[in-house]
Amino acid sequence: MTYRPTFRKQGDGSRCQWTNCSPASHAMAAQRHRKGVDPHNAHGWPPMPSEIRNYMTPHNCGGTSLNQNDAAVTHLYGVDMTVRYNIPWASFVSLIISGRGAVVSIRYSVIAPTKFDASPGFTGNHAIFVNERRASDGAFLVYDPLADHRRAGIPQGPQWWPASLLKAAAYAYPGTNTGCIHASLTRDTE
Amino acid sequence: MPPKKAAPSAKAHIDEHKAHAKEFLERPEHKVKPVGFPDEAHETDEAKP
Repeated sequence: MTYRPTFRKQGDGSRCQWTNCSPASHAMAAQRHRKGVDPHNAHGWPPMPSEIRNYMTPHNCGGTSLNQNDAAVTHLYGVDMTVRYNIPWASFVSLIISGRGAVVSIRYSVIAPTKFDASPGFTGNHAIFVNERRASDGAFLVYDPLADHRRAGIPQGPQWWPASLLKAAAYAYPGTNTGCIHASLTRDTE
Repeated sequence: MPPKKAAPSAKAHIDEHKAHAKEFLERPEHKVKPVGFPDEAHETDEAKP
């Protein structure tokens, strides 16, 4: 069975919590990358969104990039992610099936009308962590950092998203070529 | 009738994906951030959470 990291919500009360989707997604990715093994360095373990955020932007709460987060988890946890741009969907599926997790850039307007909407009214850019694909129906296990059930109707924790939904949301992210997505991949842990 | 072709085993199936993934990750054109990529717009929960 594919290793599953602990779900980390971005709404954890920490600084910048509502712009911390990428640090939260990378916290989960870093735990997956190391399969939960503490590197025993000077930093905390397990990976936490606030520690990643504080390393990247200690004085502001702006958006962060895949590369910024990669540099942070490399420094903090010894996790060297693999950032790739304009990944064709079929290649992304291969990367997941072959044993990698991925932080994926998505446009939340695609998620908003579905039961997976974890922030009603939000339609902007977002980051999620994709842990694995289910062979029986091709669905993906998605860790949306907003899915914390902070009120009724909001999903809680990892959810199996239909492949068509994940694909559409990732395609809709600004700056992607047609039929392609941006993602940061963990090592092959399987 | 021709003999039926055996379905690949689960391991062979995954190995095919691993081979493709390895080849894909070496492609240089996917390593470079595209011009105009909205780096700072990667995330913003702009609505009331």
